[in-house]
Amino acid sequence: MTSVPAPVADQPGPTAAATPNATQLRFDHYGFLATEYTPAAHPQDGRDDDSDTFSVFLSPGFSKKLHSEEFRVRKWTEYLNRKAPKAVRTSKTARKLVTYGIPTQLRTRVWRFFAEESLIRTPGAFQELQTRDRIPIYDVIERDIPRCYPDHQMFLEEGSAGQQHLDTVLKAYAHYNPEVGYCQGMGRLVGVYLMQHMSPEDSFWLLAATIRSYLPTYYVPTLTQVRIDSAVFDRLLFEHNRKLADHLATHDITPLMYATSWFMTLFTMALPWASVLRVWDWFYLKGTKILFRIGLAILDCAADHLLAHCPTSSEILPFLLHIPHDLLAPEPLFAAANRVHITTGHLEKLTHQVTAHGIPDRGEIELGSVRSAKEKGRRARFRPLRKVFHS
Amino acid sequence: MSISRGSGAGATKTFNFKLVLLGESAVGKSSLVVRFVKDQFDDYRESTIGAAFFTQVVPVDDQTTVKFEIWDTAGQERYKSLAPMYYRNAQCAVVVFDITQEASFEKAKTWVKELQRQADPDIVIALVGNKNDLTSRRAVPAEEAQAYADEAGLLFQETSAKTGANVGDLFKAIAKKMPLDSQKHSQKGGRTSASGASRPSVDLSNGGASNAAGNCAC
Repeated sequence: MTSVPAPVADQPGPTAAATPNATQLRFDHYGFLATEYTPAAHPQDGRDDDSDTFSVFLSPGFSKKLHSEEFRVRKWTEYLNRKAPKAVRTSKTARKLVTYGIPTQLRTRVWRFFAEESLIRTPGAFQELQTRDRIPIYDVIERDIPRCYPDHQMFLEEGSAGQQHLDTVLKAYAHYNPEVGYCQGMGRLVGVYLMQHMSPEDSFWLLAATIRSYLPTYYVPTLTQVRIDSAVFDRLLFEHNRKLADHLATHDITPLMYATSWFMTLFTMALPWASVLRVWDWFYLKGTKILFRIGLAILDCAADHLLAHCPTSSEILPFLLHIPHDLLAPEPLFAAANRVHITTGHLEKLTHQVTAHGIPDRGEIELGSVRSAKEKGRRARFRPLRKVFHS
Repeated sequence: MSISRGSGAGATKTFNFKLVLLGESAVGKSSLVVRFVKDQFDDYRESTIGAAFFTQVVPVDDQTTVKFEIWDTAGQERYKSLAPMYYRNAQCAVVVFDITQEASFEKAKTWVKELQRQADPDIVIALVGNKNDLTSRRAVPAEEAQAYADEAGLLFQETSAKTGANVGDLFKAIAKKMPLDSQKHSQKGGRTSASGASRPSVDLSNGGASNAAGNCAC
């Protein structure tokens, strides 16, 4: 495996160079401002991937082959050229390949492939959308542009190319999908695409395809899906890590309080960047199930501290909303994620239960049948469903 | 709310209150709370997605300290669907607008109405006109906001998170407005919890929890 320095790290782009005190600013490998808390030049940062940290999950025979980057590039290229996304999604080899991270040079092509961007991409449409009249949501978008990745060299300067591209893509999307329009959180997705050196047009189509294929009801005005998923996550946490679920429940902390930004920004605000890209690779391969797996893995990584050192919500919440990045580096995070098992069938069952009694326009969704049980005792809602139903 | 007592001579009592920040997007809610909690200011802060959480203590007098547990909420209209979770059981609310944006003042009024309708009837509400360092771009006269606050029974303060002006005073004024009747509240007891619900008593809720746990251990 070779170390391929990312262009952003070694050649500060025009954005950073144009900033008056750019010379005094330090950026990490991914282009983020290095703070006193950021190890600016971690030796691993310069590497294209850190495959050896994942070999632990693989059988020795197969992992040998996978260790070769050449083999992985060849395999992904083969998928891109010859397979349908559906066939790759269910492939065990693809699952193993993705644990190494998609090779940088193929990453966005693979994301577009899984999001089935080619199904919706129409030549000229993006340009046409940019000629449309101003609409009220533009005000909201414009207020958010300088507040989207203000700590990244591509976006930190007012009026920079990065900010202009964000603006163009989000406004075009607001016209393209009026039902969604614009929702805070979408800029975080577009920013990731632009950071991967995608053009505004490619970023637009990947955003459109990603929302269409994976997150159709996430950014709608009632934020329906994030409320459903938080209720489902609450259940899963109870099943997966009872001790932590009880600890959080005792202090009335629900997933909507800490997982909203995880889901709405696909973890870009919670994880160190090396983990973000790896999680996104997995997300594009496997879909929203990964949001739950990673969410539970994050909690597993934070559980020891939460249980031992956070006796009340005053300690729990600040920790949960800003989990130290060293706990969530790719190695511990993916090791934890590999211990989380969720089947699609089980997710569907829980989602059905959550939505069976209707979805309120706002607020938390609770399981209707559990509501009366909750009145009997605070912890009753964390009893397994079947017991609630039979009691 | 909950109370903890220090020990020994000259001990102070600490009262915990849950505070929620509401208001239009980009009026400076996060900047205000970061100025209050960390005494810092950034020209551009990342938009708040969901909500952020902070705690800060305010000494009220020699014997009394108030500890605020602060939920700083996302401002975009559609995140409003999550707001009840944060203001439910809050004992105080800070509703922020931007003095250079008339529309944000109107939005603040709708937040006040929603709180008066849906939140705890005893909630203490402060209306805050932020960005008062930008006087040349002022769009909301201070007198107008003050008159509305008087009429609606709210505390009112103009602040600048950027310069720090009046930020400390604002939270101190809220702290002084909170019910610090230790007799009454020490009877109430209750634990610190995210939703801030005051339990009928510590004993009751502990009993309830352990009973439920007992039922579950099957």
